[in-house]
Amino acid sequence: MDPVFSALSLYKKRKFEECVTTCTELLDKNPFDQAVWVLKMRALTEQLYVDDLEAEEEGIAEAFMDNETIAESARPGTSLKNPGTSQGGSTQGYRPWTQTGRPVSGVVRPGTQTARPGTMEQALRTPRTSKTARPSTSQSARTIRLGTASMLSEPGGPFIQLSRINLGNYASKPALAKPLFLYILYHENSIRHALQLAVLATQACEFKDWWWKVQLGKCYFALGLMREAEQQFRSALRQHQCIETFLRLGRVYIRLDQPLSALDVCRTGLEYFPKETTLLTEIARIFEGLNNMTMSVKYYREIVTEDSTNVEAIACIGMHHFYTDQPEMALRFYRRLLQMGLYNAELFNNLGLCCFYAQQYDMTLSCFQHALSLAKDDDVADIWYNIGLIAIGVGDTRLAGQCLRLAISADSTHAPAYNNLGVLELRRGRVNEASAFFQAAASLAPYLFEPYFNHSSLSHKMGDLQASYIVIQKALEAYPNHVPSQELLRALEKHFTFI
Amino acid sequence: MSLFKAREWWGTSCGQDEGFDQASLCVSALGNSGNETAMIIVGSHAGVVRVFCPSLPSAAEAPSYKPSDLLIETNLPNPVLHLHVGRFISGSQQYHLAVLHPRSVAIYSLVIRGGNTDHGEQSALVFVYEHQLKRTAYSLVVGSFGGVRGRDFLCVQSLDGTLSFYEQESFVFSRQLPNFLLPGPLIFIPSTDAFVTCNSHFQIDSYRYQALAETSDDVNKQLTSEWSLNIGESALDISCVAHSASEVDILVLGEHNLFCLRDHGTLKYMRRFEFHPRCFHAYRTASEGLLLVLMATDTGTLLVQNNTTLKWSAQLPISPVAISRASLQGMDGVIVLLSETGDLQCCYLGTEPSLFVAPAIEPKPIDYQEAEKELNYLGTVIRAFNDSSSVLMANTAAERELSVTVKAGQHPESRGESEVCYVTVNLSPHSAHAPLTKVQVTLVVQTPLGADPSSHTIPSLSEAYQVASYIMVKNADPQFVWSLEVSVIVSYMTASGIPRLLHSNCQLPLRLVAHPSSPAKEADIKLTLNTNIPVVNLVELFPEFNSSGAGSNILGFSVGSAVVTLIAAKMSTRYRVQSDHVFPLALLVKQLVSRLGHFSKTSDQQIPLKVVSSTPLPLENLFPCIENHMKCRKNVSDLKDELGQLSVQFRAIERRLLTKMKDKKPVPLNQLDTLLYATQNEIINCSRKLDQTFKELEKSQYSLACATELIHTLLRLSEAPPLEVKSFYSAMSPIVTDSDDLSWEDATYAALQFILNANQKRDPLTSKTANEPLVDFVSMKKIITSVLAFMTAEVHSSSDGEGRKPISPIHETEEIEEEPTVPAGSRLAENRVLSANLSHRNRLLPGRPKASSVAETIPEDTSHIETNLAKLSLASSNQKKSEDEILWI
Repeated sequence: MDPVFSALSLYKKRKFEECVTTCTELLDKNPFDQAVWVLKMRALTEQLYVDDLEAEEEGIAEAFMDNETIAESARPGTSLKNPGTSQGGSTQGYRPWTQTGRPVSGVVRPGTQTARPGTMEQALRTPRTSKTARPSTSQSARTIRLGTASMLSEPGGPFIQLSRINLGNYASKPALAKPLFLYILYHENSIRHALQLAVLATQACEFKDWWWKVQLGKCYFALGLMREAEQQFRSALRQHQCIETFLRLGRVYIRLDQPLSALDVCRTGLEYFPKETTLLTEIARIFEGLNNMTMSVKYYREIVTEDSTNVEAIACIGMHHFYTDQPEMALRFYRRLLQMGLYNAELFNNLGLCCFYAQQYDMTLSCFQHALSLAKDDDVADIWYNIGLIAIGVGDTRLAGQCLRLAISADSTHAPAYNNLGVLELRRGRVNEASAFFQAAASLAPYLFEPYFNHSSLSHKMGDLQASYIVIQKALEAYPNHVPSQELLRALEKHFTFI
Repeated sequence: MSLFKAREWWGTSCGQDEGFDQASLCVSALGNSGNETAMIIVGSHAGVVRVFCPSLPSAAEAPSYKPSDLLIETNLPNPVLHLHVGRFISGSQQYHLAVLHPRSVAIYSLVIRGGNTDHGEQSALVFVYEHQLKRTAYSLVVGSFGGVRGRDFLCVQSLDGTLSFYEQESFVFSRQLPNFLLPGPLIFIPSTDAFVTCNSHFQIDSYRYQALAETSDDVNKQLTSEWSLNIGESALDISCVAHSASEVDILVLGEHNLFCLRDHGTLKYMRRFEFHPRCFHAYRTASEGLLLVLMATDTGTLLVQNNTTLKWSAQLPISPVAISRASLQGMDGVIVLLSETGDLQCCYLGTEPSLFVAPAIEPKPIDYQEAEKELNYLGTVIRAFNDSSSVLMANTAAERELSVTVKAGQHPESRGESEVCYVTVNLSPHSAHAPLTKVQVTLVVQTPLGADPSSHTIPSLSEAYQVASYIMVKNADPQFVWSLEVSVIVSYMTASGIPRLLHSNCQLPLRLVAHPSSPAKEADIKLTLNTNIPVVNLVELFPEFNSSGAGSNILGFSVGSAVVTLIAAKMSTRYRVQSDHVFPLALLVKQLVSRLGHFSKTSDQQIPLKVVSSTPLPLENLFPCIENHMKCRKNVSDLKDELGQLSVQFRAIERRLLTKMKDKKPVPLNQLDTLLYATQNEIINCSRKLDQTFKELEKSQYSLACATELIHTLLRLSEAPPLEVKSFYSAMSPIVTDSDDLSWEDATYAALQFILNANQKRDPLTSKTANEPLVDFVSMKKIITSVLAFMTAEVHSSSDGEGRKPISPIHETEEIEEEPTVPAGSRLAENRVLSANLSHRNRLLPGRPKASSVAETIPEDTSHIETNLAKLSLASSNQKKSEDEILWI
């Protein structure tokens, strides 16, 4: 058996570690065997490959150092930064909003977790969650953390000494340069070196290879040079249409906060690759970001007809049905996910809620039992909160209070739980405690309007009109179209003018 | 992840770790061309070739592997890399097996002899011919190259990229592929008579057989591809499916995408994966002519795709490295899978969904009566938990489980410049069977003392254990130490998972901070303490400070840079503590009192010891400390603001620079770099200044703590009611902590305001407590004096015997001894009597003065009285000033 053959066979079977070991032995015997060198490089790269399109996240540094902003206050529905402005979007009254100031998404993605903070100071000061005090840092920091190979110590030093390598020598040999580039980018995470190689290589092939342009664009994107990245991707698309290029160009526009251009790009991509699920997913996500749920769900439905096992699409459609008062429909989607073998606490939690609102009470509690047995530290608070909600629904206030307290003990920053505890205390007539709970909830989650409204109406009833007036304005800031808040404000203003 | 599961129909296992990959499986009929039943041929890297012919089971029995399904198993001397079936023998239309070995390609023919006995048929693989290879082989391609009919030729791709062509038994030519580094998948497309491969440039190349045959290996005539397409990734496998008689679809399985190409090299469609594909098999359905692709993923799912649409997905029983489709004995569409370890499976797509059923979590049904009982019990536990008594209960339980003894070394050791004291904590659990887990021992000392290490963690404790820490004065003058108490907090989880907490205290030796020194006769601050027992010899009280210069009634201590002198009166029962510095006094007064108490206990005194301070409260020492502390805090916040502004400026410059740098055309920096450096320098300077100010703040915190503690110590020794003293202590804590938003003053001010409101019978919660940071030192001073005034006023009102106290519900049971020489309280207090009586009277006689009626009706207006009080109490301290002068307060 030839060792080179067995190394290739191992590579094809995705046994990268053994492949690397075989290659290392071969290279020890003959250090100048280019084929084995490339094979080892590819195995190392594949070992650590992450789909960087899915792992993207915008950090503070990117958001702040962004000098491509076109308009500070964009027209309604044209910016991802203020999704509340779009027409016909869902409101907080129906679908709760997350910390990021956008509606709850059906699935948690890297992009849905970060907020787009107004200023650097605000971003640094805002406490994150009870789990971490770290504000999300820059993109490059995240990619470094994703690919930790550069930190792993290898016996006998690193495979390739990037500082010693003469990139010019390799640039003209595409068979070596392409795997080398991928190795530098994904394994070593050295965007600077990768960019250098890409520039030399694209010159060497006289700008005829679209692949190098896409790679250049990737490097520029990682470095935050959006316009340059856009140029490269556009040029690559003129030469050759490829799904990945469309996706990456779309991402450039999302980063530039031009969601409509991103949609255009994805739609052009769909003309070349009809019904491509990744492009459809991208469009659906952008619409979700723009708070245009109907369009988002339309595209998610298209995905499901194309690929009926797409978990993200099913979850998002289910979520949409749940928040548009169709818990039975939502139940069917979530049950499908369960039947497909998805087995986690979040799913059971959602199933439990759907069952409750669809009046299938017998299933509700067993779903939540499952959810609790599967829950990890991050979601146990939410599950207790929802059980508390069920308890309030069936009128068991004692159980509700205990559940909400458990939610708080699991996550001391769970603002909705504080708010509901406040309402419970108010029902029991403990005004001071209720007011304290509302204030706690409001300080933890300024994006929620409920604690403000509750606090304000409580103060109004107690006769503290000044406090009521101040607080109701905050409620309206969080949710400008909330009618009861508007009415309360009007009543207060009337009262003040009367005085 | 899928709703369905591929159903196993037939399966077996080939050998043990013989090594299989994509090329190890071949499904085809061997022997006569009329033979329709496909055979499954498996060749391993260990050199074993097996030919299976699964027999269709009768209706009754379940399909399973039978020994007779294995037609033959031969051990070849060399590893088997690739298998193909074709018509390789000239003049024969029979199908033979081509086996690729690393250095040879051999043709075998399967011979089946009908048997007469029960053994059934007998099969044998008969070696026909062999081509020796010059280079190590990688893969084998067979087909009717050059458009021949009825014959199959062989093409071997070697590891170095040479294609060697064999027309059946004879070698034709060999050719080197261009752009070659690592061998990729290679196929032959009969309709265009071309070879398609993926080269190392991530391109799909097509070479005509004609071109390969005509090009020679010399440099002049380069081999050129018919077409090539850049797909941007390496291909795992290529397969071609005839579309019609003339057209074919070429399917390329990339690492992240599936490509479908037309035969002239243009992209028909592609699909991006969200998974890693392992292997695939493409075919066209006989009935509808649909192009279907079977694909196995690394998650063990089989996907069936038509164009880009997912038609079916099913979970596979094994994770395959090779997949194929066979028609076995008239049954079409059996999916044949081969795993890496040699598991061979024939599956079909069952349409009955195999629903995932979540495992039950509750094995036994709930007994509702039991559950209710438990719920009620837990409810009582929860309710009881809110009472403080149960906490005590829990703690006594904790004491039964673990006993904690804390010991401080009585002789401090010097380590470097500072002196350290060794504190040992002995933990002895009472039960050795149930170990206590997550035991954490934390030592808490008041700054500037510090413990090193301040906490110990023991993962599991089942027998006696000892931990030790050093305690020392950290980066400060020892005179700022105001408490020598070490409190040890032990937390642990019991074996049943209940968290428990234990407290323990211990006193550090005075020697840690004080040293004997020669006493100073004169001092600025003098405190006098009266006792009811005869004066004790000071050397007896402080035996460790017995130095040569000390007399029996005078003793000197040097605490850091300060000297404190302790004098015992010769005639009366008084002690005097005096020093030039106010800070160490609190500690020494406390030491004296506690040692006197200890002494009186040991020396069998009949009367309980009573120590009374007869010195005015040294408020004049407290106020500068507060003022200084507030000043430091203001400095810190000013500097922080400045730092914030500077960093905003820095980022703005950075941003401008970035824009300039990003610009295509180089533009002058317009001194932005200078500005950047200057701002950076300023930021560094500012941070240094801030660092300095933090140190000052720390120092002011220490002095404030000492001064506050002194007030409390003296107050405890005065006649003020103990409950009031306690509440005053908790309102104005000597533990000075400053958070970002809340300073010690803010918290103290709010708490004192609360006490004042409570005393004035106002609802303490309704009035606005200070939410915004306090900047006004004067109001701080005012409120402290007012609260103190109240406290001492009560003493007098009760001693006046005027009846019930309307202010506080506390009853003074003790008869206050009026000292003839020094009146209880101070000059200050004397005047406070007046002020208190004023308010007192106001209350008792409503309606007479205007102020009182106001106080009764509108609570907001009582501040009027407060100002009066403050005025009066302050007026006492500077008596010469007229009332008008102080009105600005």
